[in-house]
Amino acid sequence: MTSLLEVEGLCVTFGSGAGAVRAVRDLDLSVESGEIVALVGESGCGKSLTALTLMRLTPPSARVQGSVKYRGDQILDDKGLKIKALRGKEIAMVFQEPMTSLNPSYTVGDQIAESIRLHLKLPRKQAAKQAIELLRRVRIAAPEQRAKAYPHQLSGGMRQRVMMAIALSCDPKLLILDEPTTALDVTTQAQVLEIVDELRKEANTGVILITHDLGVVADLADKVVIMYAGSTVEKAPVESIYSRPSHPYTRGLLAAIPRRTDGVRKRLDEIPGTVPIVRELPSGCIFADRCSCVEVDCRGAVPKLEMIEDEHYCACWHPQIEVETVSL
Amino acid sequence: MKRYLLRRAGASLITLIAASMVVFIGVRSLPGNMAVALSGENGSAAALAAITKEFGLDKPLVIQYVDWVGQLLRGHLGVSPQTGLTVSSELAQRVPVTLELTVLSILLGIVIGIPAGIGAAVRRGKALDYASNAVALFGLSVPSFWFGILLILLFSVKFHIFPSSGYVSLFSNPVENLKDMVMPVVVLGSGVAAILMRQMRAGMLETLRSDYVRTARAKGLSEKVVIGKHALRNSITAVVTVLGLQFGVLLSGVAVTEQVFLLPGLGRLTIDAVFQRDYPTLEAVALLVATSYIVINFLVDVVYSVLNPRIRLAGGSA
Repeated sequence: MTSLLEVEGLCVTFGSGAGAVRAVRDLDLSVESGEIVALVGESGCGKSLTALTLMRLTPPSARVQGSVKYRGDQILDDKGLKIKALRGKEIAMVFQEPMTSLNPSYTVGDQIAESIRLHLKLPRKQAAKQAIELLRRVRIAAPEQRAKAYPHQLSGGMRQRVMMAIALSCDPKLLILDEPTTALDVTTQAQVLEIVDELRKEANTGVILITHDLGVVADLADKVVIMYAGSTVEKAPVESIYSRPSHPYTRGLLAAIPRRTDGVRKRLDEIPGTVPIVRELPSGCIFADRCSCVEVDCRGAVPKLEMIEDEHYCACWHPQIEVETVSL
Repeated sequence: MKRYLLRRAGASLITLIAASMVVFIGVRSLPGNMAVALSGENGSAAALAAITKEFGLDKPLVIQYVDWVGQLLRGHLGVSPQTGLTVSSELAQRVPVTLELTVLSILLGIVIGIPAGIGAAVRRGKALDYASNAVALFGLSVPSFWFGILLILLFSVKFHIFPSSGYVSLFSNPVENLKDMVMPVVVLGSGVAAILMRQMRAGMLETLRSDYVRTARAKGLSEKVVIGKHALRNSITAVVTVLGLQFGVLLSGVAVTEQVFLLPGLGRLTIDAVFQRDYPTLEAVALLVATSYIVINFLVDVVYSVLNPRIRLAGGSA
C-alpha cells in the first residue's frame, strides 16, 4: 500500500561550499490517511522549515534534495510544478502566526471563499455561503457577521480558526499544521486541536502536526518524530515515545513538561545549554554537548537512526531501552 | 468612513486658509513692489503714489489681505496691472497647458514606473531588476533641462520628428497638440516613473516577505494572483502617497520644462509675474497650486481609506 505522504532523505541546505548550512538532514517520514504525525523539537530545529519545504514555500535560496511522494507520485521536482497543483486543494497548511497570516485588506469571508472559488470552481455566491459554513465548522459564533469582518477586527484565536477554515475549505487529504496553537490561549488551543481530531476521524485526513509541546502530542498524535538541530533523533509510535523514550533528548523533553506533583514543589527539569547553531555542529553525536549521559565514544561518529524495537527508531550510541514510564 | 473623510476635509480647509495667508504675505514681501515695477525705474513720485493708491498698496497688510480674500470669495482673482487682462482669463489659457502636461507625465510615470517596480521586486537580483534600477537612477539624476535639450537636439534638430517648441490647443488640433507634448512629457514623466518605480519596488519587496503572501501561495493561488491581488493592494499605499506629492511637485515645478519647450503654461506665467511683481497673478497662481496640493492630498486620503479597511472602519487614527 502506498502511503499518503512518503518523505525519504529530505535535505534542505542554504548556501554552498564551506559555508553551506544543512538545516534539515536526511529526514524520513510517512503519513497515512487519518493519521496524525507529530514533528517535535525546540525552536530552530528545522521542523517549520520541513513543513515549508513540503509545501515548497521555502525561500529561493534553499536547496532541497531527497524524495517526497504524495500517493506514490514524486512531487519534489525542479520547478515545484507538481506541488503547485496540489497546494490548497489536496495539501493544505496552517501557519504559526495567526496575527499576520491573513491579508489585512480583504474580509475573512473573501479570503476563505477565494480558495473555494479557485479549487472547487464554485460561483461567487455559493462560495461565500460555503465560507460561512466553514466558519461555523471551526466553531466561530455568528459566522454570517464574522465573514464580513477584516482580520484586524478578530482576535488571534479567531484568526487561527479562520486559517483553519481556509485550510479545510477544499477538504484536503493532507493537512500540515505548523505550531497552530503556539500563539493561542489554552482554551482556544483545545478547540483548535479538537477540530483537527474531528477532521482526522471524519474526513480521514492525514495530518502533520508541528509543535514543541509534547503535552499536545500525547493526546492527539499517532506517531512522533523528534528533531534536533535538523536531524531526526527519535521516531516511534506515540505510546513508545511516552513509555519507552530512548534518546536522552526525548527524555529531557518529557521531563520538561510541567505536571502536577501532589503538592510537592519541585523545579521543572530542563535540558542544559541551547540548540547548537546548525553551522557549528559538534563532531560525533550532535546532542553530546548537552547530553546527561554522554560517553567518550559519543564524540567519535554520528549515530545513525536505527530500529531499536518494532517501529521505534533512535539515533543514539547508548539508547535507553529499559521501560521507564512517564506519567502525564 | 464618513467621519474620517469629514475630518480630513475639515483639516484641508484649515490648511487652505493658512496657505492663503502664507501666499499673500510671501508675495507682498518680495523685494521691490508692484508700484515701482509698474511706474518704471525713473517714474515720477506722483505716478508712483497714484498707482500705490489705486491698488490699495498704502493700506495695512491685514486690510489688503481681507480685501483680497473678499474678492476671492466673490470669484474675482483681480486684474493684472501689466496686461490689463483679468487674471482668471489668463489662467483659463495657461492652466490647460500645464494640467495636460502634468496629467500626461503622471500617466506616463504610472504606466512605466509601476509595472517596472513590480517586475524589479519579483525578479529581485535578476537582470530586469538591475536594468530597472539603472534606468531609474538615470531618470532621477539627469536634470530635466539637459534631458529636454538633448531630446530637442535629437528629435527636432536631427530627425525632425517632433517640433522643438510651440503649442497648439488640444481642442483645436489634437494630433499636433500631442506631438508638441511628447518630448516635455517624456522629460517629466521619466522622473515620475523613476520615483514610482523605486517606491513600488521597495513596497512590493516588503509585502512579498509577509506571512499573508505565504498564505496566498499556500492556498494554491497562481503567482499572478498572489502578486496582482494580495501583494499589490498592500504595497501600493506608499506609491499613492508619492503619486500625490509628485502631482503637486509637477504642477509647481514644470516651469523649467515649459521654458525649454516654450510651452505657454503656468510656469512661464509665474516667472513673468515674479519679474514684474504682478501681485494679483502671482497670488492667484500660488494659491491655485496650493489648493491643488491640498485637494490632491485629500484625494490621497480618500484612496487610502478605500485601500485600507483599518482606516475606513476605525474612523481614522491617521
